[in-house]
Amino acid sequence: MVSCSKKNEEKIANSEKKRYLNMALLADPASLNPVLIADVSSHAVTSFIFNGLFRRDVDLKIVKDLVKDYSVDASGTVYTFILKKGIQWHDGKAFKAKDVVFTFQTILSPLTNTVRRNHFIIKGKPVLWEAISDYEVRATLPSPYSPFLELLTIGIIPEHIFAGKDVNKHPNNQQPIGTGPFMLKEWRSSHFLKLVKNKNYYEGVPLLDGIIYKVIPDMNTAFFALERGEIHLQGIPVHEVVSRKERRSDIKIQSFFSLNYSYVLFNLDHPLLSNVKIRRALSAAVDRRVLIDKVLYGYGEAAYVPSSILSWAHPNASITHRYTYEPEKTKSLLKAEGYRLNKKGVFEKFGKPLMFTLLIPKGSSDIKKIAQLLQHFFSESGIKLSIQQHDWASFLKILRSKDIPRAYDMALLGWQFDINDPDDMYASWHSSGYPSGTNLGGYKDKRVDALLEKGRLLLDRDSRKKVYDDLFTIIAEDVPSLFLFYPKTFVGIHQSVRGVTEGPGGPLKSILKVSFDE
Amino acid sequence: MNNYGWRYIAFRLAVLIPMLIGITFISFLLIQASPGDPTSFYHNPSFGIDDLELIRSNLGLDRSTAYQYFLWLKHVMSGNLGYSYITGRPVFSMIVEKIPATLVLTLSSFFIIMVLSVPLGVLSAYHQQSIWDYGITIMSFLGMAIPIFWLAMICIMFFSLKLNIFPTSGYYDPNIYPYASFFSQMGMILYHSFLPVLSIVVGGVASMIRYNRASFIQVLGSDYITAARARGISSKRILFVHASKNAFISMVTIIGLWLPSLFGGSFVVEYIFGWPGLGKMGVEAVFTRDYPVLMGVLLFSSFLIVISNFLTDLAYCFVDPRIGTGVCS
Repeated sequence: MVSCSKKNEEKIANSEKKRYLNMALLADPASLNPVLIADVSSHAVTSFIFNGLFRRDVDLKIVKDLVKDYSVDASGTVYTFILKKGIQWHDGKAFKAKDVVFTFQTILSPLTNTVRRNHFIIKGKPVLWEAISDYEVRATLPSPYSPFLELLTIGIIPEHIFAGKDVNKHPNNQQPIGTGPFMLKEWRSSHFLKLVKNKNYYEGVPLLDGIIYKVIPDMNTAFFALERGEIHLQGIPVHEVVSRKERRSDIKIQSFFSLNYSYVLFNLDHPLLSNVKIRRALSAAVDRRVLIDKVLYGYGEAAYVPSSILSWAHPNASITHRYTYEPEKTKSLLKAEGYRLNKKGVFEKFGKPLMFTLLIPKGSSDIKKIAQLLQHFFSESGIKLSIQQHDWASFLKILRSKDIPRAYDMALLGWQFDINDPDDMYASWHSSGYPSGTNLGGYKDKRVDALLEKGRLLLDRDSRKKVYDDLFTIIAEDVPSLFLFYPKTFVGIHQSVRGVTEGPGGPLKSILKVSFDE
Repeated sequence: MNNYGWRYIAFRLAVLIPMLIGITFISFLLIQASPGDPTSFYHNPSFGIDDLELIRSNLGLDRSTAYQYFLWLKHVMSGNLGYSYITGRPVFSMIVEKIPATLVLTLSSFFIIMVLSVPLGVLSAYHQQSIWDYGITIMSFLGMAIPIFWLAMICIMFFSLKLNIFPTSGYYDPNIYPYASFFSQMGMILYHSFLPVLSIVVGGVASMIRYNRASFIQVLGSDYITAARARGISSKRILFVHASKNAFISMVTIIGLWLPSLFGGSFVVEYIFGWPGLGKMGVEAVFTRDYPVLMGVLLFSSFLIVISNFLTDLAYCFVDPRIGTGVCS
């Protein structure tokens, strides 16, 4: 039966000529409505079904998508967008300005279960969206906001489908109607999603007949499926990249930096961690080079500020490298604070040893490895660190608890920027983001607040760069969190796939040109 | 079946309802007590806490646990299992579309486990302390000791990667399924089910052999078997006619208890092989704290447990009419 089945499958496969790009999703998409989505799977799928006003190219630069042209008035608050004509929704209706206005009004409505509302509320006031004509949209901002265009990559949804209905439970969240190069053909929940090419796509017809996403929740299985050619493209963990170097295989590997960093969040309400000298001592105790070598096999860069290597605002080392690995400095800083080494080699003050608890989420062996290395570095410098594991839901619950001060000392986290602009730091480092926002550690610094406020008002990149250099200088001095590294991301691509792009935007940035070897 | 029998069945069926309510209520409490809620599925800590509060109140999660439970119960009574918090889809249809895949996996594993474990158990019991018995016993302890997730991984690495004869995952290949005939579609599903079934069967056969062996040994040692032997009845007849009927009584008990856990045991396998069944959906719902889906799956599986207990009780009287329900007399 087996060999017969296998032959049969091969026979059908050959007669059908494989023209579908197969990929894996770790989970079913929650929804295929770009306004509602918050999970990785939904993002991946909707990006081929919908278009935004703008999109990011392979270098993560903002380029025009549905927009033909745009202008900003002198005050920097009124944006006028001219839309491309002749674009059709998958159901054949024409795409018009009212769809754009509807999309952003839906995001702003408190009834919509979206996490993007705060993007379009500036200084407590919403951005005003109006259709001037069928192909002209005006957005009026309460105040200038330099990264505004970065936020307009979100997919536009059709007004004629959703208007007047509950967008959260709408059936078209499962049967999306977009303007993108692919349309959803079939969705077998927990099994696969099949997209087929949109023959009326405004930029041309894709070379692929379609895309199949297979839902494979287990990372290892997904990796095996890539090895066997059942899927053509898959993110790979770094240890697999290293271990497969000796193996011959049909898989090419791309690597690139992303908009992310790993760090140890300090609870700044903690009596010891609120002391900047202790924070500096902790930063100087950690050998980031060893961390990168042991955890990332060398594929990463040391981090001292919340930035990304890809950002135009990324500061140079003379600004950031303030409290680099120097165990002697750690000891002298602690001694100056009145700590003395006891017989066990641990610093103590008034008989109390210097010790912290590090919270980590369960699941990844890499996270555990980082935690253990930190424990090692700290103990070398006479600081005790205990590790506490929680599942992701309880982990986040502690970090976002309403009881202030929150019940943790430190937590190991990765941070992913939503947009490639330094203003994305605003929510997590401005004092207004605490306790109800995303300033999780409770960082409050008037100078940083002022610079963050200034940075988003300036439209000129050179003057913004100066502002953010000043800001990074303060953060590098202040060590509000223990920044660890910027990791590289790896994607494995099957040899037979042609037309992939190379860069931080990922391999599928020119999806129309992706095809297979004949 | 007599009048008393029907009354007994009606009574047992009526008891099912409060039982299910009790199970679901306790489950609901436990689910609510676990940390996090569906908004923690918005994994990204960069999402605003205020927005999460708003979503929480839109979903009704700010109400008391008791209120939420009774609302759920009220909807269930009117045949509505609710909507997934994550996808917004009706839970009932989500469950129904997963049943075929789960049945393929569970029933074929069950069938294979029975076919293999009964003869091997009998063999082991009949030739007690022979080389056969030792061999089978060692193999079954090994089978029970192997963790299922590990076995599944080894299966993929060996059969899919090394030998390249079975697919790593999935229910069928969506690239070619629509173009295949009905029979090749069925063949494709069986072909894809081979490794998941194998992973379930190994542990299942191993433990069922132990049960079957034990119950046969017990029966074979009893007086009436000795008496039958004394009367010169052939070994075959003793084994298959005299002993087997009594040995099956305890096996029915085991099967009744174990059949629902076969559904549960396949959770891990479904997850690893990307098998689109109820188990995988249940596991995902646990991770995302998708209460309506989780409650739906729990309701379905507790229904199975309760029903299979009920059927076990009925089965007893066919195996042994003395067991006092009087239903079959």
